[in-house]
Amino acid sequence: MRYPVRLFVIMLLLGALGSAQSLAAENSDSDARPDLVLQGDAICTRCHDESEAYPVLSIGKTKHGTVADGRAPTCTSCHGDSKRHIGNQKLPGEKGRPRPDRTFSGPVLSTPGATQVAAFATPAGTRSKTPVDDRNTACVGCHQGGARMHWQGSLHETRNVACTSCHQVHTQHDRVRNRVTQPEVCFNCHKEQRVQTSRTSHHPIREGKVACTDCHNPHGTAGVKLLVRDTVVDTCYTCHAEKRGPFLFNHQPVTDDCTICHNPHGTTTANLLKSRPPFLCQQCHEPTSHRGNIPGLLAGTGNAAGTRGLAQARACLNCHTNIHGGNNPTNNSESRSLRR
Amino acid sequence: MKNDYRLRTIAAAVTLVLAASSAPSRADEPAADVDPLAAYTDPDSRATFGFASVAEASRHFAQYTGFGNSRSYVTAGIDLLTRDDDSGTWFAVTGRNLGLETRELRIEQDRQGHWGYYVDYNRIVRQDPLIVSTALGGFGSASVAINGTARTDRELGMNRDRITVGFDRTLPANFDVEVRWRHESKDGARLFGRGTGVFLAEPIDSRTQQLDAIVRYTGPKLQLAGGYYGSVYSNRPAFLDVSTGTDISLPPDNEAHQVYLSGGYSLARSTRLTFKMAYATASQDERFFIAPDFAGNTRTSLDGRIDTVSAQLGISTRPLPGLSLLANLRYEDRDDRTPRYQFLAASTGRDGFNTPFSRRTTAGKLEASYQLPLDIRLTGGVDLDSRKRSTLTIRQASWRVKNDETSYRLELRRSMSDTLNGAVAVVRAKRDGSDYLPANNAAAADLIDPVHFADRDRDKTRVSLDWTPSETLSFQAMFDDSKDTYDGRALGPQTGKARFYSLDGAYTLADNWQLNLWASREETRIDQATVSGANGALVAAQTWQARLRNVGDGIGAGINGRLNEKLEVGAEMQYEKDRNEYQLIATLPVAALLPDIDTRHSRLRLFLQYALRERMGVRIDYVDDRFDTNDWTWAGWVYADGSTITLPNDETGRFIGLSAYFNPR
Repeated sequence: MRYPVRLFVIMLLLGALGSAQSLAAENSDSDARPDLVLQGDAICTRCHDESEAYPVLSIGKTKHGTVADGRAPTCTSCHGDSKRHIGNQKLPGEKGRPRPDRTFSGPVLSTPGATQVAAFATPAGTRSKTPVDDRNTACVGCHQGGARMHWQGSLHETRNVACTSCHQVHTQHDRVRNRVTQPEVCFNCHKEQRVQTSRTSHHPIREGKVACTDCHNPHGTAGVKLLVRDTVVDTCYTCHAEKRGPFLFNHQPVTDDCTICHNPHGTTTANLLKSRPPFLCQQCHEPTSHRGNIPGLLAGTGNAAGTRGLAQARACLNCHTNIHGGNNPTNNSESRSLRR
Repeated sequence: MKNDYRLRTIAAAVTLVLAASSAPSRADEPAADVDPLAAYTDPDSRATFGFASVAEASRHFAQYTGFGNSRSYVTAGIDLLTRDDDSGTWFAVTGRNLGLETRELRIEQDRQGHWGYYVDYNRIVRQDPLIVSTALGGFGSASVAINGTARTDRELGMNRDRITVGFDRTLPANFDVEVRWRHESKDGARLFGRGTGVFLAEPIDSRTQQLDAIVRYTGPKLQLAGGYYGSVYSNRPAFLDVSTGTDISLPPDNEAHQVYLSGGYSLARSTRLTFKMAYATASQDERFFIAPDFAGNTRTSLDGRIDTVSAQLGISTRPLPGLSLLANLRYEDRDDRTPRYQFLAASTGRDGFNTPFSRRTTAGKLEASYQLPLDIRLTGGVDLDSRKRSTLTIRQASWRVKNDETSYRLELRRSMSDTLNGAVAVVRAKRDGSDYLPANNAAAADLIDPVHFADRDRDKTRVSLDWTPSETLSFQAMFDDSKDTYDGRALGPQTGKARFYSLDGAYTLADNWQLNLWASREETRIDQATVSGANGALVAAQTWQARLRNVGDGIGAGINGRLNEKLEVGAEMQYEKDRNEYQLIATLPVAALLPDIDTRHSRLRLFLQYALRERMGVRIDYVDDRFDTNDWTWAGWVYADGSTITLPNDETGRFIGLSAYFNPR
């Protein structure tokens, strides 16, 4: 062979040898490296650490990082074996490193100190190409029991909500599991409730004392509206047991559905009422006696048309004070009409 | 002088916090033996202490914060979290607002996968913004005297103190058990009254205990949960003893107990069966605070009892790639078994008996969702809701024994690109039912179909758009429109409308800077009619209408970021404006007409956090809360006993918090 050809062949051989040595070194490096957090994570943590866009080590701060619990996952339990990603095995025409088998959308905010930032704003997350039900399979595979038993078929599941749309898995402080920050996560989708909870009459949701999950189980329930108990009334009774009765004289809507009169997320009328009495009451009650009278601002505490008694203070409830039910057994008409 | 005091307090707080933060600490010493990896993998803890000063008190701001007075507080917080890596045992102490009215503390320990327990204390305050000026003697107690004392200003409000204790244990063969007990006490007073127009305060002095006990089986395919839930309510005062006239009953002691079995079974990877069966019994047999005085009635208590049987069965499956099917059936039989006895003399509008109500509800849902070409997902569904109710021999309002509602839903969702998703959903629902049973058994005077019984056609449309033009920028837009048309009767509810618009944007300005903005508007309206004149007949000249409209506008903005490695700042602003309109089409003197009510509320929150050293720093929080309204609910209103109530209509609340934090290792 002529000299240049020989040189080229030698270079090729050296290059191949170098590559082989490099690969061997890489593999032996991987073999030699200890796992940093999870069992078998060396294959991942040789490249991924806390300093890049996808910080991974902080999963060690979470329940998933409790390696003494034999059920704790490895990286590949959730992300798949990801051999093409690990080996950078591109398909023809594929640009960039192949992504792991299963990726998740949503903010990955685990950098120390970032929790303050995360408490206020949700940064735009990178979109995952993995189908949502495949993403959720990674979670449901372990978290199928308990409060998540009714996940499949629930409104969130059927509307393709990913677990990681709400949960942050790689961080110690998952915002949706914190009573104070949880509503902001829910308001990412539930915009009407965001406004309603700021109205003059509201539950202390904004103040961090009532969380959405006090009433709702977002993972699915056997009852209505993802409520924690089977019906609206039973859910409300968990905090308002004084309305449960049964009373001597019951007010029928109270036994049926509290939301006939109240909007639990907030209203502009006292006591979360949907409309101001007497208008609310006049949506059901016949105009016999004083019930059809016109509310107004003329002097007088009575219930004649145009007077303050029907419009101001508590309006109908000025007199019908036991509106949820009365338990007075004496023979007077006021017992029946929820006044006593 | 007051301001001087506040300034001195804040200055002293600053000095103390800075002094404490500057003091040498073991937490800040270089620790050669600390594994640098541990900073990333070991749980973090934080302790804070500091001072909070209510620089300007506002009753609206105080409603759930408890900051009703201009004063300073010493506050503390703790978020201690440790893990023994060998055993997998976690120990956590979480405290928030310690030193404030809204304090909460939780202690928990668990060996992951084996056992766990927790004790949790939480106080929820509610301070009513109203200021009551009354001469009611015994205010807040169960024995009151109208005009029994000198007139003075009184506070309405309530404290809820909750203690919750929980325990769980993993058992062999995939079983586990969980027990939770909660005790809640409620103390305070709330607005009450007695017709016509006498002011009273209802005493609140009650306890609620709840017990949850669950045994679970969690297998790879089958999961089961069998449990008991009990709730026992006890109210210390049985009645409000009013010095003159008739006493008033207060909520009676009552209890409810439920046993249930709930579960799910995965028939295949994509087919799942879920169910729940439950039996509950609720009772109320508190001794009457006064003996019945109807001749022959010797009852000493109601002996009230409601038994409820409920069941749910659902199946969801994905039989083909891209096709999802769902069916769900729910049944509830609420059987009010309270015996009926006569307590009142019969008259035109009543039979005089107590009023138990039973109800049987059957609800079903069918849904199919299919992935069409062009990244379009089509979802269609039918919802059915059928309610059958018991009735009384004579009713106070028009009545329906049966209501049926059927809803048809259709949704198109399309991914138009990697960055743009849109959805359009329409719902059409129709509710009808059995013939009406007239109020007071007088068909001629039966003029209004109650809003929850009436025939109703409902049309809803929802459009949403989600656009993420870049990794750092996203937008969401949403529009909802809903219209209810009630049956064609001249009186009662006529139509209801609701519209909601919202636009959100989030932008990551830089690695450590984020900005979000949103705006929304909600409009609701109901048109209704009734007739004045007390004769219960449809007289055109006495018929009047109300067009009730509420418009709520809201905007919000937040920015957070790190100026450098040590300094983090953030601001959040929210502003809402509400208008309630009472458009009465009625014959009334101008002086009687109800003006519109406008309410504005803004809240600004600022924080600044500065790391003095690696694991310690200081934080400043500032809140400015402004509220104003022209609400006339209490304006010019004087109770028959002379009591008056004031609703503060223009208030600003300002709060400053200064704290030091330590992150122990």
